[in-house]
Amino acid sequence: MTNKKDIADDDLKGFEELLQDNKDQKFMQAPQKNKKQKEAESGLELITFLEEESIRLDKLVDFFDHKIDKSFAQTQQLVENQKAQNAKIRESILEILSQNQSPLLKSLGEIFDHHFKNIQD
Amino acid sequence: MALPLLREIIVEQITPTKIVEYLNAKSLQQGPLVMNLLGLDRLQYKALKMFEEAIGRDMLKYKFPYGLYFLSDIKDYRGKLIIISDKSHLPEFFRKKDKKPNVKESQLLAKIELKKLKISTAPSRENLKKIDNGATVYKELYLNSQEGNFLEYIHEKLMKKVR
Repeated sequence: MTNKKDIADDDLKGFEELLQDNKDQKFMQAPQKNKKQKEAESGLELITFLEEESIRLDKLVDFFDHKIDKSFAQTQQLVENQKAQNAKIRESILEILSQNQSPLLKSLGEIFDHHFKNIQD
Repeated sequence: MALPLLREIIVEQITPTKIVEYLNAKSLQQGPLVMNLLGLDRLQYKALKMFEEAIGRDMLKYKFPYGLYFLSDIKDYRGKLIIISDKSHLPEFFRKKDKKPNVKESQLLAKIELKKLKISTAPSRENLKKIDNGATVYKELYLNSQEGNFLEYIHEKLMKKVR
């Protein structure tokens, strides 16, 4: 039975010399662009830029013509909702804090006890 | 027709007439503009103040269709002008090599000029007010959301302690 390494070595027979010759060379070098090709690319780059700029300006025109009124329509309502929600949570926090065994009262009690006990002693 | 590319003006004098000259509407229509204040050293604050006064309440007019940027090394500026400390912070999109446009590019440029004209009338006082008010409401929403997050965090902690 032949192993995989032997098969691979057999496959490369006859090509060793070629592989050795190309060892130091870079594989698949990018073709050098001549001046004309470079110019064509930069031309395309400018056209692409101008097309994108044109689209950007279209969007701005659309924003000022149509979207400007819709854009901020719901924001005030969202602010009101958020304020109402904040008030609800604040109320809940105060409720927890004003209970007899609340963490705030416990901590305050500890501070007072510690301070005034020292003074009494 | 000039390409809408980033251009730079080196600010050397800060007299009121010169400031108005720098803020020439025509040059602002051509493309994004950078006012380089670096050469003014300690006078940079004064220059920014003067630009602010000259721009006045029409701040958004200097953002459409193209932005106005100030290159300055001032760190603690608190105003509405856009300050950048380095040219690399400028929008990459408008940084292209300037060249004479060919026929096809000129046609596209002509279309762009028309759109620019349309936009130059769009930031009317009414529209600017809408955007300004919208920004204020968005800021209010942001601050209220921040407060909401903080309150929720405290509430959650308290609930854990009570249990």
